[in-house]
Amino acid sequence: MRLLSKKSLLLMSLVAIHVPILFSGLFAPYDVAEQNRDFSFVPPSRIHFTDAHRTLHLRPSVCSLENSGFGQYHENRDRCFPIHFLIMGSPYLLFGVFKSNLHLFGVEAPAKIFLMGTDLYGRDVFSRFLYGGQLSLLTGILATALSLGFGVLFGTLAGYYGGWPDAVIMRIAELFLALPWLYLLFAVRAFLPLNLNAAAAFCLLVSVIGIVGWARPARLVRGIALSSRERHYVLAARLFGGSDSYLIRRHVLPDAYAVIITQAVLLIPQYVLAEVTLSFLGLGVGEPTPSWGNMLSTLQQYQVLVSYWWLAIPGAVLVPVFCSYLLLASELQPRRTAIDA
Amino acid sequence: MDPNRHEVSLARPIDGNLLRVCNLTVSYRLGPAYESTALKQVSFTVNCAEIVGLLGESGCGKSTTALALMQMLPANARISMGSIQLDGCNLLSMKEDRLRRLRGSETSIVYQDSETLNPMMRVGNQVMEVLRAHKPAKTAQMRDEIYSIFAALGLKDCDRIYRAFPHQLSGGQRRRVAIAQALICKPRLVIADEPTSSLDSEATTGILDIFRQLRATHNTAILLISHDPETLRAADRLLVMYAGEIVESGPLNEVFEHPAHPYTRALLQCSTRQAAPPMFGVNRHSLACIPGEPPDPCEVLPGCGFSPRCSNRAEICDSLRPRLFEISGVHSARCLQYEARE
Ligand code: SF4
Repeated sequence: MRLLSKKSLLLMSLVAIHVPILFSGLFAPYDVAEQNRDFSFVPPSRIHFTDAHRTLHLRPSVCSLENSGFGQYHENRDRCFPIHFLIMGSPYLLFGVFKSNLHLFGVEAPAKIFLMGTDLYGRDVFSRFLYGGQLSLLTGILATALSLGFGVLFGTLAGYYGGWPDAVIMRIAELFLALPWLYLLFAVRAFLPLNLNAAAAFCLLVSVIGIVGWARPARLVRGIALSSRERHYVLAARLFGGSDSYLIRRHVLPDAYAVIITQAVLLIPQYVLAEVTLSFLGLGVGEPTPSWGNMLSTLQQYQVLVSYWWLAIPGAVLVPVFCSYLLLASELQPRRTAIDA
Repeated sequence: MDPNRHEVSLARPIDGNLLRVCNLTVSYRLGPAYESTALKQVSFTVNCAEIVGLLGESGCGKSTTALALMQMLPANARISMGSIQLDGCNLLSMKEDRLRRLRGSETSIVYQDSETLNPMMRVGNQVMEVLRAHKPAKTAQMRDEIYSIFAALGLKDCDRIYRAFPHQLSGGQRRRVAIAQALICKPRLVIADEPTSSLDSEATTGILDIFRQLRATHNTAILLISHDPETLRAADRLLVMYAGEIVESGPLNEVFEHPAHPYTRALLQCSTRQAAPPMFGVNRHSLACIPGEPPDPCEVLPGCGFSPRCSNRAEICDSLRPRLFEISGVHSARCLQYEARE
């Protein structure tokens, strides 16, 4: 017997990706807005286990950087600073509520640790990547919840009641499916003022992405509701005096659970990508608030793209995130057949 | 001719009628301007603590009758005439909300197939939810009630059955659970639509005994619907249905011993001819021995509906519609043979 199923492995990798993003204040060594004008476009810090005299140390360290002009930096191997774990640093709000200044790791001034280098303003890309992930993933998750909420609601109503509600809802769903939604997002976003504050832009992003996508889950759920309302046990439950809402809750929706979960797992990466796309094009949440999309948007400049490869790391990280989600979705898919038989 | 004229003989107001169906006519719309009549002026009564058997071939309107009594006819069905009175209240004019409270608590149905249980829910919970819908109480109290009804229905090992999923039970056990669902709220009228189909003879006997007991202990009225005369031996009174009409009605013994309508006669004959165990044998093919097919419900014969298959057919049968003739005070048949006698 295998020690871990594929499904639990995928779940674990998803957790491993999400936990640092969830607790980004703790995992990030610096504040997202903290600028180091002298250190713009610094490559990722090297982590050393030896000092200048080639003696081995168990505690890793980073060396202080010196700016040698024209965007060139060199390490001063004589001035090494050990990396400390669980140290006090700049204050932050955990989950936006709890005040804390504990960081998982960091180094003492004047050295700096930039795991993923810095951007134009000398901001730590790693910290921004974690905070930006919060925004991007939250957009994906909330928009998925919104899509599924509407989709399940309208899909169940259409499938369960049939007749004209079904016809009306499904025609509207087809309209939504036929829309080129990316361009629709552009249109909606372009229609609204460009300099929205971060919270408003976020809400707008979530609601536009979420509402546009309701049609597909609605169609799937409708199909299930349509077949399950014909089942004998639904008829029987009705003959015993079950109300419509009871029948939907207890007999129809449980049939759709597997599909709803699979849809959620499929939609989250899709919507994260939608956020990244929109922010990349400057239609999402704006600077200085980081999101994966607007972090990538600096890559639109050719010079940045060819010279500073570390700025593409947030894009590269999307690949394992999406793969885990999509593989999990395909793992979840055939589960229902066993129960059905 | 006034269609209502002679259809009242069975619906005489008798005190103690729990259910009174009067001139019930139901048709299904099968397409634009294309209807088939499933029930034609059906009238009958069921008294408290009475078991009434409804006998007929499949497609004769038995299940339509059951669904009409529950007011759960499919969307394309239309009740064009008649009334259904339960305890003096007309079900046809009742609001859906009130009907829902009635279903399962006052009237209840034991359905013919065994897939009336949700395969993904524990059967105990499914019985519990009927109880919770109509007579909510503390969970432990309701569970006790369910255990006692399981025991009364001969389900041993209540604990295991309560927690089982439907696929873990045998056909007979599932049927008993379905009966428990129907009986848990102690309804006054139970409609049992082929309650013993596809069960072995032992389970059949057991289930019929349950109905007899129920009648004795709770004064429950039971409408027992079946295509098999042997199943209906549990009944006090028998209604025979053919092509949406009641063709004969009377006390069980009298109908079984002196069937008046040629259809009943044919039905009973082939049933006794084939029944190897005389009691409660399942004679699923017994009807094949009546020559001919039941009439197409969409075409209306001008005369007696049974005439194409009738062995006693006379010339007049093709042109005149027979009405229900009283043979004795309680026994009547829809056959022109008896017209001559009157
Ligand atoms: S009326 Fe005529 S055809 Fe109809 S059952 Fe009687 S004898 Fe047969």
